[in-house]
Amino acid sequence: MKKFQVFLILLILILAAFLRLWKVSEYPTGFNADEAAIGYNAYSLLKTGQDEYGASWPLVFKSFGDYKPGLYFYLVLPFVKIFGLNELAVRLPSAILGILTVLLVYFLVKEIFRDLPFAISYSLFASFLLAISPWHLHFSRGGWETNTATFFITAGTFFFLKALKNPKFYLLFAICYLLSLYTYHSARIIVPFLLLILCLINRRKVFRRQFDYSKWLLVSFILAFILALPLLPMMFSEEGQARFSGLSIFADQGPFWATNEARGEHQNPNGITAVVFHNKVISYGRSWLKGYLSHFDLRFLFITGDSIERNKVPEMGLLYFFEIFTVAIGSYFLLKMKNKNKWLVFFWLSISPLASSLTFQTPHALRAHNMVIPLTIISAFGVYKILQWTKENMSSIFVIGLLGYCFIGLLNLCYYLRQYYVEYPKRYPLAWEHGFKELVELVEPIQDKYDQIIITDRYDQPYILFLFYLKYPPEKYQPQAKLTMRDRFGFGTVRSFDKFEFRKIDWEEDKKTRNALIIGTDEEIPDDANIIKTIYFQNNQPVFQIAER
Amino acid sequence: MSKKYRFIILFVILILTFGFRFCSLSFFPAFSGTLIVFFVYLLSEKLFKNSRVALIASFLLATSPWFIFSPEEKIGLDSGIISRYLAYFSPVYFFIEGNFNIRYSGLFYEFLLPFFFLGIYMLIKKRRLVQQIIFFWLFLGPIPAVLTFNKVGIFNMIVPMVIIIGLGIDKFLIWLNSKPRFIAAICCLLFAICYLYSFARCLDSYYVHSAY
Repeated sequence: MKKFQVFLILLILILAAFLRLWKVSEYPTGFNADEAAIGYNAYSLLKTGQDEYGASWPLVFKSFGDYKPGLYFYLVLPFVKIFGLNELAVRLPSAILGILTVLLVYFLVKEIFRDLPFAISYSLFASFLLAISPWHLHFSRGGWETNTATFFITAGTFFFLKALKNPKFYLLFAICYLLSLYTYHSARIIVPFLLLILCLINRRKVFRRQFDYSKWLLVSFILAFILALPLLPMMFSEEGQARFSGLSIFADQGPFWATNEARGEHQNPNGITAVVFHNKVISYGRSWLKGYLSHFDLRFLFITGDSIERNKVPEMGLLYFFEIFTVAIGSYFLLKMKNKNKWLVFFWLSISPLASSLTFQTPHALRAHNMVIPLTIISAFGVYKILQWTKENMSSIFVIGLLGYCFIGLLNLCYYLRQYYVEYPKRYPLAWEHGFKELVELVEPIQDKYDQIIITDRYDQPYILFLFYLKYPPEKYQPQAKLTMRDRFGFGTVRSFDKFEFRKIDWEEDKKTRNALIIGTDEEIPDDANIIKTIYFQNNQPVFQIAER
Repeated sequence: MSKKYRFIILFVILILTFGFRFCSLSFFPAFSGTLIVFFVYLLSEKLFKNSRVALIASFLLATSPWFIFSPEEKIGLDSGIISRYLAYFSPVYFFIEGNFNIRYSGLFYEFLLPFFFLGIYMLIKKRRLVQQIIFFWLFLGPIPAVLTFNKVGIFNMIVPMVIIIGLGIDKFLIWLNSKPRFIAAICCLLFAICYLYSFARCLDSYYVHSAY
């Protein structure tokens, strides 16, 4: 029996690995600016020991002025060393951690529900569902920091539960939670709440008065505290808050104007009723609550998914549609069950959108990514229940029903894979900035012929993609790096390096330049210009037109 | 609770219902609405053998923004049938937006949200299968509205919703009972303030803002 379990979990891992690794450098098609920034900074560190701006071994990377938490950069570093500076090196760490999360969920569920007789089959279902989960797959493929944070949060939670029996695990737990804080912003809000919940649920076991036990707890606590200290200046400095202030719900002026409008409708806009019923506390409070609750909208979870193209697959929810029943059945029976550990799953689910809800772009699949873990655990319990019913009532109706359901599940999976590999690159070509690789490959050999190369800034952060694909020597770039002022979302960009210039193409002006290469969009370059090459998206829509002057 | 008090409270709720609905509607909807509140009382009394839940549920119904003004619903007409159905289960729809002609208010007051989740848990925990009928009612609730492209309201959903929230508040009161007197008093006071504030805000939305 034991052997059979190992065999099954291996099978699930192979499936997870296949879905996460197969052609990972080609799909998603293109390579986005954030990924390029991660790759180039890691490359720069390898070559010079400094990031693109010349800061040595930073914990936070300035990048586009958004000050990215640094852990993922350091995970990518050895891969850049081995594979060179390419897409695979940036995407592989996330994919590998994604596969490990699938394994971790198996152990986590086994640990959470260890008192139950069916813990093993239940945990197998959970890891299987995570292996094929569209939400988890999407963020395992690509250089996403959030997937890494989810891995560390899951690992930390598992080690905490382990530590209740063997306190040495507190060390591992502390390290995992700490690493998640250094990986992604969201984790900094979610992790303290998760820790609180873990302590509350297991309060009798956590706060024991035995020296052998408590010393580990104390050591881990002190270690975590010391190692977390560098975070404080990062979080409370102006730079650290720059990104958040551009994104927080208070950056959205909507509720403020709504308040004014509502007050204006009162006979006396400054009267007591107008002020009591319409004020900032109420309107921003409602706006926060709306953002938070929107993550539990079934349409968001099962039908439409995120609204940002980079975070979604066309016509797919974040979970499979067939899971709507397993999630419903799973939550019903999990709540009915007498087991206090079930609260971990539900409280985790309820706090996971907290970080995302503090921003005005809600619901958000990326920032609320760790929701996928509790949702999968709940969904797996639904699958378990359905199978249990079928086993208890081996009537033909149940068996046919179950087979039909499995068939629908399989159809869902096939549909998702088709949408991801075929539809996605055609439908949202802009999302992953397709075309830069081809462009740089074309420009690189002929660049010496021109005095100046002007590239449109129509696509996000073109400079970093040029640096990445040119493998431009970091020691040459660092003195030239100059970030513009940050816009209201907290982003700046670099306008030029070497002979490359990145800005909007104004053809009437730019056509006067001599001995220059002008690379613009279809609209920016007129058809009668001396176009030497056009680069196309997969849907045959032109990305770049390259004109020679 | 003695029978006498129970009926006095119920009577007050019914008078309130009639009064409020008569202000915004006319005699017949006011009368039928009052009957519905009465039936919600009878139903939940019978189902849960608990007159406190029944009183809370009928009071919630009588004072919910949705019920007082019986507004039209308008939920995304352009989307597919499943999407339209699922839209009715969005917590944003119930507690924040409501999508109707009263701005600044959902179908239920925002602060009732925790009691809603508590109520769902209490209902799941109930042993008797017949009590779980509330869930089926909730799931079937939006079907008429979905099939008729929202020409029919979703009254079907409001009744199970108030019963669920009622169960949550009932559990909260039971929990308060085990606490020291002054804590219980403070909690009750807070609850009452939240309720009165939300109710007043709802009236403000209707009487001041619906004209715009």
